Parts: sequence; C-alpha cells; structure tokens
Amino acid sequence: MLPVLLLLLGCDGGPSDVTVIRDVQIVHAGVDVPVAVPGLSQRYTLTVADPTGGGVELLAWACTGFDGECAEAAFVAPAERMVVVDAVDQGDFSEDADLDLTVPAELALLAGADTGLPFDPFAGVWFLACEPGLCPWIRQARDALAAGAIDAELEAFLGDPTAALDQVPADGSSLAQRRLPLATDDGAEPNANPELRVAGDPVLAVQTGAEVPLTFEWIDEEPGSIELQAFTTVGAMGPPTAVFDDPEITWFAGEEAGAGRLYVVARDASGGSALWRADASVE
Amino acid sequence: MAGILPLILSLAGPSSAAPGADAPGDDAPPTTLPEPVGEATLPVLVRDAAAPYPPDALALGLGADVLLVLDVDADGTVLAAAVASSAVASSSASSSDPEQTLSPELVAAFDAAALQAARSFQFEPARTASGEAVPARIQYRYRFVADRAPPLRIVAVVTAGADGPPLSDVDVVAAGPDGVRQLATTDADGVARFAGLADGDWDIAVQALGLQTATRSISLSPDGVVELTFPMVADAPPPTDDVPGEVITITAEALPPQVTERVLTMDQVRYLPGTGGDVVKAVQNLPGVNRAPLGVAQILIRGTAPEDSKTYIDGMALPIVFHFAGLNTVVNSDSLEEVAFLPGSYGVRYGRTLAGLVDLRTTPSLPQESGGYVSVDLFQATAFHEQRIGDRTAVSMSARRSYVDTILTPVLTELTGSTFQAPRYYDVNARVLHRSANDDVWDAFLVGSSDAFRVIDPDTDEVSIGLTTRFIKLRLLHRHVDDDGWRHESAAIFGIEEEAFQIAPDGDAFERPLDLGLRHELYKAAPDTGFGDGAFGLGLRTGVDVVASRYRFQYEVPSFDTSESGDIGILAPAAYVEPTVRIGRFDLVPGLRADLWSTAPADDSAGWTNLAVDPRFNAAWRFSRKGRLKLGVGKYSQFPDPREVTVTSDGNPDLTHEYALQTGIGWEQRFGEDWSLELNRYYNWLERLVVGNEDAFRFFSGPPPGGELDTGDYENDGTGRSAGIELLLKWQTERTVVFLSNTISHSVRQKRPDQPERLFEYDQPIVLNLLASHEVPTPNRKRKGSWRFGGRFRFGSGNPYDPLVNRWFDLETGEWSPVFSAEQARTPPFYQLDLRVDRSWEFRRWTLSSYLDLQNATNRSNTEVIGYSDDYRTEEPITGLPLVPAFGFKGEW
Repeated sequence: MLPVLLLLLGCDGGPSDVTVIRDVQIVHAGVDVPVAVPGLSQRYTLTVADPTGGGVELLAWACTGFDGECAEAAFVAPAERMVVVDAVDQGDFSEDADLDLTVPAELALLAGADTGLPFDPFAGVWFLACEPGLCPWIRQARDALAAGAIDAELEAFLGDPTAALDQVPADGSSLAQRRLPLATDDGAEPNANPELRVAGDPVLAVQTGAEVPLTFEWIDEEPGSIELQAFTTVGAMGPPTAVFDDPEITWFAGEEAGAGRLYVVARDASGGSALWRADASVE
Repeated sequence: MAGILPLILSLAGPSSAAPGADAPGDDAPPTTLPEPVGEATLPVLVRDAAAPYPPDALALGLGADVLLVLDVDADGTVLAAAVASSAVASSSASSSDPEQTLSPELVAAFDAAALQAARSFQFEPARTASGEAVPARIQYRYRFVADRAPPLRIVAVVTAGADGPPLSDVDVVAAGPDGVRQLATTDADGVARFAGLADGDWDIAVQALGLQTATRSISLSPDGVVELTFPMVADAPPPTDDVPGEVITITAEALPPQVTERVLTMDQVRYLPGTGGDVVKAVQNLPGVNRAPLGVAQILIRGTAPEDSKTYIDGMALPIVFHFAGLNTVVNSDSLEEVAFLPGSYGVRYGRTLAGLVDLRTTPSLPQESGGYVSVDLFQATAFHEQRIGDRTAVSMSARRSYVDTILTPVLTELTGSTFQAPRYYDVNARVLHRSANDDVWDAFLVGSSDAFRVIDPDTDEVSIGLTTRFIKLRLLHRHVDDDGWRHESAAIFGIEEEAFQIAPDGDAFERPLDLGLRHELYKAAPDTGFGDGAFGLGLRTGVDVVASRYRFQYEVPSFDTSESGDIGILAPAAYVEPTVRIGRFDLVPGLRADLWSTAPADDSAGWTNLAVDPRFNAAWRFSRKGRLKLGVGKYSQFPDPREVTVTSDGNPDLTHEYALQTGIGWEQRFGEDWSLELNRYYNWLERLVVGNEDAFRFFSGPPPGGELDTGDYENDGTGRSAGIELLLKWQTERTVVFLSNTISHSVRQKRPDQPERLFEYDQPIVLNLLASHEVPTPNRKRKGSWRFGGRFRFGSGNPYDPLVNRWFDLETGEWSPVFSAEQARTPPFYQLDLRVDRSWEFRRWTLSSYLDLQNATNRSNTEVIGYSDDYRTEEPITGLPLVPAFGFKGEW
C-alpha cells in the first residue's frame, strides 16, 4: 500500500515538468461547434507544437470505436473519414492545420438512444502527428487515399491506434483523441466554445530566471466548469492556481536562453475548448 | 575394549581383593587402593564428583555403600561404570537403626546415584612399569553418609516438547568452572539432579540421540536450588504438531532453554541485521519468500500474491502480521514460543488460502520468573513485562509506539513537496496464562494494533491521502491433554478490523470485517517408533473450524470514477481429518479438509454458497538419524472476495473457488553438530483464479498490476504456475550463526484463455540471503558482557514490469494514457548489505544492551518500483531507502 501512496502523490506549486514540450506534440484540436452532427462535415483546427523545427506530417481520421473497429468504416468513404497533411519544410510549419471530417449519418441512431453504455454516445476523431517518415501509417493512409480503399492492416491501426503505438518512438510522434457529443434533436442550443484571453499585457521577453504570472479571463456558458492546462516550449509553466478567484498560471522562464511559445488550453465540461498562445523569449 | 583386557588380566584381581573406597561424604577422600603389580600403578582418583543423595534416603537419614566396577581409560576418564554389588545399608550411616535394610527402591536409587557420580570421576590413569598410561578396570566403593550429603544444586526436568511426557535415560551435562564436567541421567520422571557443584557459571546441556541438543547457562550462588526445564525437540522428524511437509520453525527465546542447533533462536535472530530484533521478520530471509518491494509489510510466498497467503496466531487468522513498511510484527516476539513458516504442502489444519502461511505460536509455558524490558530505538519505544502470580498463573503486557513519523515526515515532505504524517503505529498485547492443577492451559491473549499514514495538503491543512489499518482481537484458548494422550484444543478469536483509505476531496473507502473464529481440535501424535523398521504407530488430527463474519465495505472515490459498497454476512464452517501412520522410518499423513463458504448480503440480494473439498497427502522417510526425505501433494482452495460474488458490487455470483495444486519434495540433512541443510523442490498449479475488474480498488491488496488493466467482468479465467528450488544451509554454534538462503523460482500467470502467459508481477528468479552473526564475550571478569557483530547481504532479481514505450493524449480531459511494450522487462537487480554491532553489559539485577544497525551500508540506490512522470513521458524509478544508521538501547530485568 505504501508504494502506491507514493505513486499517487502529486506535485507542488512550482514549475511542472509535464508542461514542457520537447518534441512534436498535439496541443489542441479546436472545432467550430463542439457537437458532432451526423451527416455533416466537421472542421477541426489542429495545433501542433514542433519545438525542434524538424517538420511534421499529420493524419486525422474519424473513428467512433467499437471493439477495435471504426463505425465510420462501413458508412463513409476513405476521403471523407481520413485526412493526411504532408510534411512541410523545416521551419515553415504553421502549427495549425484545418482538417475536414464527416460524421456518419448513421450515428444519428445513437444520438439520444439508451445504449446501455457507461458513457454518452459520441463521435470520435484521432489525430497522429509525426516527424516526417517516422510513422508508417501516414504513408499507408496517403496511399489508401490515392487508391480510394483502405487495406486491412491500416484499418486495424485506425480502429485501435494505441495498440500499435509501441512500434514508433515517443519522441517525434504524438497521438491524441477527441470525442464530441452527438447532437440531439431536442431543440436545445448546442454548446459553444469558451473564449479565453490573458488579462493585461504581460511582458514575455524576459531575463533568465524570471517568473511571469499570467491571469486569465474567459467567457463561457458554463464558466464554473472551465479547466486550464498549460504547455510551453521555453521554460516551464506552473499549475493553475486561483488568486481572488482569477485563475493564474505562472510562466517560469528557466535558466536557458531561447525563444518559444506558451500555450494555455481552456476546456468546459461539454466538449467546448479554446486555446491561448503567445510567443516568448528568454535572454 | 580390546586394549583394556591385558590390564584387566594383569591388574585387577578378584572382586574380593578390591575392598572399595570411602565415599566423598566421608572424612577421607575417595581413592582407589593402589595394588602394585611390579612397578605398575592402579588409577588414582584426582577429581571426585558428588552423587545427588536419594531424597527419600536423606529424609530417613539412611546411608549406604555401593560397590562399582569402573573402566578407566588411559586418559583417566571413566569409560564405563557398573554396579558390582548393589547398595547395602552403611554401618557408618547416621540412621538410628544401622542394621536397617534398604527397600528395593532405595537400593536402586543409591545404585543410580553412585553410578552417576562415578561417570564424572577423573583419575590419574593406571601406568605400566615403564610409565605408560593404560586403560584399567577397578572396583570402587561409593559410600553415602546422610549427615554429610552434598547440597542439591540443580534439578533439570527433561520432557518431550513443552507438553509432552518426561524423557528418561537422557544425559544431562554440567560444565563448570576450571573445566569441571559432571554428568547426570534422567530418571523415570525425566529428572536429573546435580549435587555438590561449586558456585560459579555453569553450562547445562541435554543431549540424546534423536533429540536436538539444548543448552542453558546459569550462575550458581550459595542460596537455593536452580530448577531448569528442557522441553526437547526431536532431531529428525518427530512427533510434532506439523505434518512432515515443509515447515521451517523459528523458536522464540520465550521457550525456556531452547538454544538448539537446528532452529534459529530468538537470541540469535534478534541480532541479525535487518530483523530489527523481530523474530517474525526473520521469515522474510528464508527460502521461499520473495523480497517485498520497498521492504513493505508483505510476505510473498513462492511466487504468489500477498493476498494469497495468510497469517495466524495459534492457528486462528490474524488480519495483518506487520506494521507499515514491515518495521515490526504486531505481536510482541517475547510472547511467542515459535514462528512457523509453512510455504506449502501443509496439513489440513489450515485452509482457505492458495499459498503459504505464517503461524505465530504463543508459548504455553509459564515464565520461569517475572521480568521485562524497556527498549528505545530510532523508530519506536517498547515496554514488556511478565509477572508470575502464584505457581500457576502469569500475566504479561506489552506496548509499543512508533515515532518513525517524526523522522520520515521531513524526508518525505522534502522528497515530494507534500506534507506527511507518516507512518505511525502502535500496538498493545495483554495476556493471562493459567496452567491448572491437571496441567490444562487456559490462555487469553489480546492483540490491538493501529497504523496510520497521511499526506496533508499544505494549502488547506486537510488530508490529501490517508490510510488507516487497525484491529483488535481477543484470542481465547484452552488445551487439555487427557490420560490417553489426546490433546483437546478449543480456541476462539473475535474482534473488529478496519482498513480505511481517504483521498481528497471526498474520497472515502473502507473495509470493516467483524469476525468470529472458532476451532475445536482433537490431536494425538503418532508414537515415536524410533528407527525400528517394524514399528507401527498411529496418530490423528481432526477438528472443526468455523468463521462467522460481517463484512462491510465502501469504495467511494469520485476521482476513480467508480464506487461500490456492501454489507455481507459470511458463514464458513470447515471440518478436517488427518491421520498419521508411522511405520518404522516412514510417516504417511493423508488428510481431507472440507470448506463451505456462504454469503448473505444485508440488502437481500442473492447470496452465494460454495463448497471446496481439499485432499492432501504428506510423507516422510527418516533414512537416518540426521536426515529425511519428504514429499507432499495437495489441493488448497481459496474463496473469492465477498464483493467479487455480490451482484450489487459488480460481482459475479457464478464464480467458484480458486485452488492451487501444490506439490513438493524435500531433503533435510544435518552434518555433524553444527551444519544443516534443507533442499526443497516445488511445483504448483493455480487454477480458476478470479480475474477482472482491475479497477482502482485493487491497490487495497498490493501494488496495482502493471501494463493494461483487465477491466472485464469477474471470471474464474485465470491460471498460473509457480515452480522453484529452495536451499537453506545453516552453520550454528554456541556463539555464531551463519545461514545461506537461496530461492530459484519461476512464476507465470495467464489472465484469460485468449491472452498470453506472462511473468507474474512478483516473479523473482533468484533471491539470495547470506546472514551471519558472531558473539565475542568481553574479557572483563568483573562485569560480564559481550560484543556481537552481524551482517546480511541480499541479492534479488528485479520484478517484471511493462516498459513504457509511448503515450497518447486525451484532448477532452487533458490527460495522458500510457502505451506499454508487449515485452516485459525487469527492474535492475537488488543488492544490499546491512551491518550491525551489539554490545551488552550485565549488571547484578539487570542487563543493558545497545546496537547500531547500518541498513544499506553501501548506500546503494536500488530500484524498487517503476513509477512514471505524470505525462507518461518517462519512467521514474522509485528507489529504496539510502543508508539508514539506526541505533537503540534496551534494559532488561
């Protein structure tokens, strides 16, 4: 029992190592309306950090998984359920990629139904970001799109990508998932993404060792459910704390000079999310 | 004796020509009558020995003469003694009736006493005309004079075990100052007496074929007679309570003179590094026990999980045996007679468990005298006192309180950034032991224990994580041995226990069983048939064993995203029978145990009933007085946890019991007086293991499983295999103990039929312990004392784990999930050296001792558990404790 307790212990309020981005990492996948509407296409804006500047290639695919298979496989053509963004030249990657994926109309059967599952019905989307040439499935997906058909090997990967992830190194690859609630026809207004901004005009060009507190403000239909998560490619971020009810995150510039970017993601309890980011430098 | 014949022929004349000698009690010292033959001389007595005067004769003032024939060796020792002419009333006796004839009983008593004395005589040997020392046979007249009877100094009572019959014709040797050595033999009552011994330090030893030598050191002062009891233990297997399976017994100091050669005594275990003076902790160094990570309070037996083994006190289940982190046993070692470690193939007395067990056996003997101690060390303070009340009753109490939290708290706080209160524990033991006039044992033993560990949130000052384990149990025992040798034992244990877990902000989980255990057993050991091939003996053990329990539990931990609760009644009766058939050198012990387990949830949901029938068989062959071979095979069933079969807690009422098919063979051998060897080979099959629902609550019974969790429904789908070879080599002398313990094993599990077989999470292919302790008496003659030096080296294979190879990110929750390799890896091997030095000073009425124990003397950083960074980017090994210098003091009275 004692070792388990030691494993369960959290960290203190200092710089958190888990906020530091060291290589390719998916930070955020925004969507215009955080609800999946069966039969419609959905545009995701994927933000990927690439601190090494080695370039990134992306694969995104709609996959509402059941027993290791994607429900979309039976209803949606490959070009509508899978998007590949080719590698870009080093340093030119914009961090954001817009990806259009279709939610199968057949998923409407699940919306509002009593499925007996311990979670609400959703439409799932996976994102895989890799250094160019590192992940074989991106090449296979590109070939599949060209051929208009997906082979069994790739389909198995799409259905359960975590099972195959031991084939590629953690450095240079990043897998992430979103699960959007299915829209229902109960007439309720769909959830909207929150708006997130930093208070004031913080100075983010600092000397080594500097600590910069960042106070955030947001607008959301469910303001009490907002959670913040911070990342950075320069220095480290502290955990969110509340100061007079205003959420505050401290950026610790660290002892190494360099330039990078700060990211803060806000999430509400219904799938809404927002991203704040800013360039920062340490001299 | 061929060499003695010439002198018999040439030196010894007819018996009438050797008139005998005066007795030691007479004015003249006893001497042989030199009978020159040429230039040769007969033996001359240079050191006599007083015979214990027969008490009845002394009371009547009777004297006697006994004529003996002695064979005196060339070194002057008495090789053999016999009665040439039995005792006759002595004319010089102080009796009022010098012509009184002696009764046959008195004749026999005088003869025996004279023989006893003569066997301790030391002569100047007979010499030939050329001066060569040669053997000789002489006659010697021993004279008893009542008013000069030497004072009785020592009465030694020798019995077979603590409750067994007296042992007659057993040699008892007293070795005293200036090399004096006297020999006595027990009579029909198992009593040996020594008279006329000088004041000073004496070592008393009991030796007999087939019995382990027992010794005890005493100091004779002018006042009184010292009474000693020697409950003897059989050398090779024996008429013991344990079937000839695989039992390793550690005998506690509390059993009076149990300084034996084959068992580890408390005196020696106490000074072994790493045991902290705790006799039960010595079990963790024995073969068959895997090393528990971080030294936590778990006993991992033969590649099984800690929850598959049990601990008992006198055969009654005890919830835990160790406090947090395994620092100490919850029962004071001084209340124990022995600790039996049964790694497998044990008899039907024990059940409801898949693997091995540890049974703490309290001493049934009243203490020789009142006494106690207070000890203070780096981690805890302990007080113990036992008090004789009259001739038949004793009470004892002990209390222990740790303050390790004051030491560890700042260390852990610095390590993790959180505030700790951890861990602190205390325990209390109280006991009343009464032995009635018919020698029945009436015993009430109370054990209470409480452990607490907390992590405090520095911002809110509230508990972030808390764990509490506490219990209080009352064990009642009555033991009666009837005239036919049947032992009737009735025992009950009753009490409440609780294991509670708190996690902020509102997580609350607990298990609270309220148990009543009852046992009645009838037992008769098979008679000792010695080594006669045609001898036959029959013994029997039969009994009933009932557990009634109310089991309440609740797991409400919102952050774990699941909850369970229940209130379940349990009734579990069992019956068992186990005859022992002893044919010459063979012991055959078939046994059968039937267990019924029935649950009744308080919410009127469906109950669950299951029957397990376990046949077992053990056998042993004593191929010599110092060696035996043994084998065992049997079924060992274990019922699912109550919540696993209760529908309202996601249980599966279709489950049945798990079982292990245990097999083992072994060889035990002694070499000379100091060496012993035990070698065992076992192979166990585990069947119908309950798997599934590996949710967050699994940690209640140990570290969480590595790799992917099996979150399917509970099923009896699991199987496993465990095999190994165990070696225990021991060298033990009066002042030195060295033992080498080695286990080579392999343990695998298969959770579901469609899943691959994998190494069990506690699989450790090689575990090796080398322990040594040596005592050096101090030369100071004014104040006795000693130094003791000890060391322990441990090596253990690392535990299997699933290496972290990647991770994925949940954009909805912001949490990372690990991706593990399909190939298991091992943590690095474990090495550790512990050193210990003890010093003791003996004062007139008390003893002071102190120690310095350097745990992890080389400050090696051993990886104990693999942890992970919060984002599963890296593995973060958790290492064991660094060099810890511990010291303490103990005052005994």
